Amino acid sequence: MYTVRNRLLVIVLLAATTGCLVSLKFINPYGGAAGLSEVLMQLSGSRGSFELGLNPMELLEFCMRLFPVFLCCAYTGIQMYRYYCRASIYIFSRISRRTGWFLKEFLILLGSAALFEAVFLASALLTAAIRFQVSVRTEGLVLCLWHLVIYTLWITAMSCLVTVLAVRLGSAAAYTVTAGLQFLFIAAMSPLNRISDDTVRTGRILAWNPMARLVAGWQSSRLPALNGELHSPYPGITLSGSLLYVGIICLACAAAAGFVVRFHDLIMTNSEESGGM
Amino acid sequence: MKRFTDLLAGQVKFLLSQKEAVITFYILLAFVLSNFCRNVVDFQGSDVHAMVYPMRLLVLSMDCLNYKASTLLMFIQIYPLLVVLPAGLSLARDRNLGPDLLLTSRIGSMDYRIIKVLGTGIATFIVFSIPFLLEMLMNMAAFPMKAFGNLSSLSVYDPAYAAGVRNYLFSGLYLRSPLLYSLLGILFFAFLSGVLAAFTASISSLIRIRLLLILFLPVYALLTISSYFGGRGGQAFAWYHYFFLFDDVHKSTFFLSACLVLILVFTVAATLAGGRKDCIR
Repeated sequence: MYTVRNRLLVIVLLAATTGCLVSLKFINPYGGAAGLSEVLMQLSGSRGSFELGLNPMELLEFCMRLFPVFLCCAYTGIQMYRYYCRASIYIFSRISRRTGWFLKEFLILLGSAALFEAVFLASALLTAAIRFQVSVRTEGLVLCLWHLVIYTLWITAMSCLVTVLAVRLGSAAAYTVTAGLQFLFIAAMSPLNRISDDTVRTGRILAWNPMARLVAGWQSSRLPALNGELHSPYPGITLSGSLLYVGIICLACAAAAGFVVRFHDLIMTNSEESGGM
Repeated sequence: MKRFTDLLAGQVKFLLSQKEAVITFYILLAFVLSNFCRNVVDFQGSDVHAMVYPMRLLVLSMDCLNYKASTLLMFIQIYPLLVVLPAGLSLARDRNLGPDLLLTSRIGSMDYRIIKVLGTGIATFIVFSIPFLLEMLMNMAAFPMKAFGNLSSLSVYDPAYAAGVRNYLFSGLYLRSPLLYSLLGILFFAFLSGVLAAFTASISSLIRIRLLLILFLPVYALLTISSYFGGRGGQAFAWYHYFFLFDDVHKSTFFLSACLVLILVFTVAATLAGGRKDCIR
């Protein structure tokens, strides 16, 4: 069967390889030593101890850092859509509880995304620890957990979106639209460079951008465990707010996918074979 | 030979009439028109001496990174996916839907695949050149060609600017004629796009791919991974430094040539290997 569950080895290999690559390219602490939190911030855009800027080159680099996420979305999205295509013929003809089937598959997808992110983080941090002196403190562990959860939710949301759109447009167009949407959100941050001195206004606009929620260096929090480690320039973006925002997006995408699975008969319109993009 | 060229011309015409090619063309045209309109609004009434050289305002100009770069930023991000869209998926779709049966039985598997891969490259070249050539013409008509400014803060007499110009791909041509450099740059960009699309088509010649999404990944991974590496002496390997105009980052022409040769060799080998047997399935 094409379910994601049977492709976990590929996910682990993908995560380990890309984690190593991203770490080699983008983690470079000043003076060769850094805390875990600084290393994690560099994974999502920061340069040294400076948080991600809004100029085009830095945003482009941020996009390159997200390459593993885009790759994982494509892979898990494919697998889920593939399994759904198969299930439309072999499973839904015998089992009428489509929602139950989808919930089970959604949890497997969530688990796969979490596995990808965990292996990715482990690989990136291990590579960084071999090259530099990385000190582990409580605030770093909290940020690591936040990174794991938010990226897991994001990958799950985008994979669900690929599946939903693939039913209508075919897998190729679905992925192009999903990735294009994410690129659009990143590009939309670039004009804010001109008003970046007004941090309150910039923060207020950025807070609506889901891609901005993935940048660890832009988060702030009052959690005592973080010990004042986060120095966000933009006041409107918080760790808990970002989790809630991305969580809502994930739920919305899952609900859309669930709706499609429940009510759409793929056997009638297979866009992959009928010339859809 | 005439039969081959007729079939190739027919294939290119067919690919250009497909909805994917038309959609991609309109997406590129939207990039071009939005960039042009913004430039007209921003630079209307500018003095010739304060004006930027019009070719530096093109979507494909890396000089735009020093100015309002959201169009270029979006284009650089979406390009690895967009380049496959017009024709790169056509061979895989033919193999999934069945028209390859008719064509293979008529002209043979080898000729069919060569025509398909070559046609993919040519169709992509056309789709990725016309909108930008159109923008070039519009900029020539709308802005003064005597302007010589740039979008960076450097003066044209600044040694750092001169060093940057020496790093341009085809810098010799730029020093002789910036206009010719721009024209050649656009055609070179379209050529590279054609090569990448043909490369994608050749993969589907070698392996039968049912889910078309998979075909986006080779070019996407290839281009993105190039930006993960840097050479000795600060040489940049990221793809966008080689594809776009007016890029002043230190480059390696050997790296570009080697990659191009490798991709072309793979494309030819995969096409020939895919078509070596005349069996229909």
